[in-house]
Amino acid sequence: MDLYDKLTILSDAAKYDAACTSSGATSSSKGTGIGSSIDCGICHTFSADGRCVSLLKVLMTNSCIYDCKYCVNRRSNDVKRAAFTPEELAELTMEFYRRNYIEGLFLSSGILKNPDYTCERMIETLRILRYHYRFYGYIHAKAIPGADPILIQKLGILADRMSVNIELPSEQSLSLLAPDKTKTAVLAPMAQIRKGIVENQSDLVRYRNAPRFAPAGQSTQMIIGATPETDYQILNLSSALYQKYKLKRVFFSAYMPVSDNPLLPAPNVKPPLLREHRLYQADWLLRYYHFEAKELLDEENPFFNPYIDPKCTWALRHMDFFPVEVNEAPYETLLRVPGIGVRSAKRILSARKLHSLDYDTLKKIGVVLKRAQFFITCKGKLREGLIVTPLAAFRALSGDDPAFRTMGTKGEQLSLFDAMASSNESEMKLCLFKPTSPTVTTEPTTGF
Amino acid sequence: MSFQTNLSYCYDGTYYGFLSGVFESFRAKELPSDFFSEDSEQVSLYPVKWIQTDPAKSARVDKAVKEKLGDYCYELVRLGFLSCLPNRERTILCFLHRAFREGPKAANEISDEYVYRMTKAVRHLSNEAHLLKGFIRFSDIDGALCTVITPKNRVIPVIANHFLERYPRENFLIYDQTHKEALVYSDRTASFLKDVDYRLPGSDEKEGLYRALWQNYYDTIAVEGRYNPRCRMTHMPKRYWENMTELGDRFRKEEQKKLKEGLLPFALNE
Ligand code: SF4
Repeated sequence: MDLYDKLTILSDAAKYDAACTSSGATSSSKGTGIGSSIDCGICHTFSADGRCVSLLKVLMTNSCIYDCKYCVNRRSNDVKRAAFTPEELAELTMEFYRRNYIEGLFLSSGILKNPDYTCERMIETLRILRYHYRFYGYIHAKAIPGADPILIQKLGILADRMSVNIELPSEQSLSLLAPDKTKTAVLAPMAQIRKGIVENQSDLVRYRNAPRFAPAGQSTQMIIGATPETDYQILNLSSALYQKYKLKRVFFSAYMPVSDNPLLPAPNVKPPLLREHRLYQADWLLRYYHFEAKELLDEENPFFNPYIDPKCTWALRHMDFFPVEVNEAPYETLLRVPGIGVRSAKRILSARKLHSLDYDTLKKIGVVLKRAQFFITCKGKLREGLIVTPLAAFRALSGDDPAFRTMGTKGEQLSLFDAMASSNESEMKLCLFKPTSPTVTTEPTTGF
Repeated sequence: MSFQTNLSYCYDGTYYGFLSGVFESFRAKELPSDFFSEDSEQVSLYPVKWIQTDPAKSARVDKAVKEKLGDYCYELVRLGFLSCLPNRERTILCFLHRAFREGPKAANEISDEYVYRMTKAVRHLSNEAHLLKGFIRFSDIDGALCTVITPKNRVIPVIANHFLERYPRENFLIYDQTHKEALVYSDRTASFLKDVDYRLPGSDEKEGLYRALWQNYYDTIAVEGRYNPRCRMTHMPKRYWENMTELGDRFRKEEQKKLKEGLLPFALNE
């Protein structure tokens, strides 16, 4: 089989791994090798599905001794199999990197023979890249659950980032669909990597030239929509993972039907892309906007609203928090306003030191007034001619959510959002404006 | 402004030439109505004053901007000059008059027309430079990496360091066809060339193989269930496609088709 066909098979098999990962570590080549991994993400291209491509993402092999039901590479699936040799893959990565096609390599693998053997072939590939080609670009390696801890350690020293897929959002789902994997087998390498990173940090303090263990940290990924967990459960799990394993990112991947196993959604079910998108938005709010999981969802509202994003949902449920005065509100408060992002909030802080801001200036700063106007005052005044009602705000916010327009209208099954889902506007509003605490009252005059 | 003059400045198009013009404007206490470079097609209604490029004067202005107005203003001026803002010279000059009066904080005055336009232009430039760090495609021509780009802004000075760090041991060439400028790095020495012409030569077999592999990789990784051309277009505007290995052919094919159907009056990239 020639390289062309191998690449087709092994990139095709890796593509369902949705993580758009760009570099996160800094290592400068200091004129001795090739490349530098810089810390602002660089997208080298965007695929036809609109995703950022920055790494060559392939499997070492798509042969696998396991039989996870949600996976295209499962043993029982009838597909063409291929494998790269370490030399081949190292050269391919290098030639792609030289032409500025990619920032680096994202390497994962099916289990060939046994976990240790698989891990050794990955190590050999990275070794050739780092030592033979003196490649200083970015490498993300998937730890193989079940491999010897010594091998995981070796892999971590050669890679910038490591990850272990948690695969499914609960233990029950995992044992049902991935009988060869156990929660412990997944979490053990995760704990080891975390330990490796922590020890390494103290080593680095002690010895300046200690080898760096996965300097860009570790991440994980789980499949959304293959199993019945709620958004609330998923979000709680990801917050716990961030804390316990000091993860850099948790990635969500909408399940693409690859099998007609009755335990899984049927092959004609569309992947829940909008749901995946909402989870990312929520994840973003937790990491950069000082939100907590329990503010966004709870037992009674365990799913995100398909029509409006999580931040707007929160705002509409807390109309009593608003309006905030842009000339006085602290940073964290500004961040809660729909239409104001991290960048515009920072710009507001620096611009208002000079003189108080009016609506025109806010627009120039980059605030999306169409959304923000319902939640702010400028010098104590609402925007001229604006009447604030929750209904008007809801219409403005739901009308222009670009995610909903591009994804939701493609016939995605909104019924997934059981608790919220209803195309009936009044029912939706009921859900939305249900007071979250007894003290909150939304205007009774508007009728809901 | 009170000292606006019915006069226009013409200079040689270099940054030092421009700074010499700034010097002249402060010295003569005049604000020209137009300020353009000799090779621009601009015609002025006003009498033209030729600005002689003077390294000593321009160095004084450069130093003053840096020391009196601070790093942020310095960058705004330097990058503003590389941007494709219409009337950028005069816009920057007007800004400098205000900034030297009011100090560094003038740059935060986003409600000021000049500051607003410059900030926007610089953002446009930085954005384009950032995109190109990823979108540039090199071809291996006899061991040297070569590429041709067609940016709207003069991005080479902005992206040069990135590529010098990325390829310390390679020889490479980045040619900006729009502005006829090039960055050449060979034998560990970088040089910046102006007013040059360059065409990418044909590729050999090995180069052809890697291009085909990349194109194949690109086509394979798109997940059909997620097809979203609109999203791709937002992140990667079409005007970059013609120089990108994985999309160039597609871009040219589409254009051919439009030409045939009479939707385009002439080919765009010749
Ligand atoms: S071990 Fe990995 S590659 Fe193998 S079937 Fe399970 S998920 Fe797929």
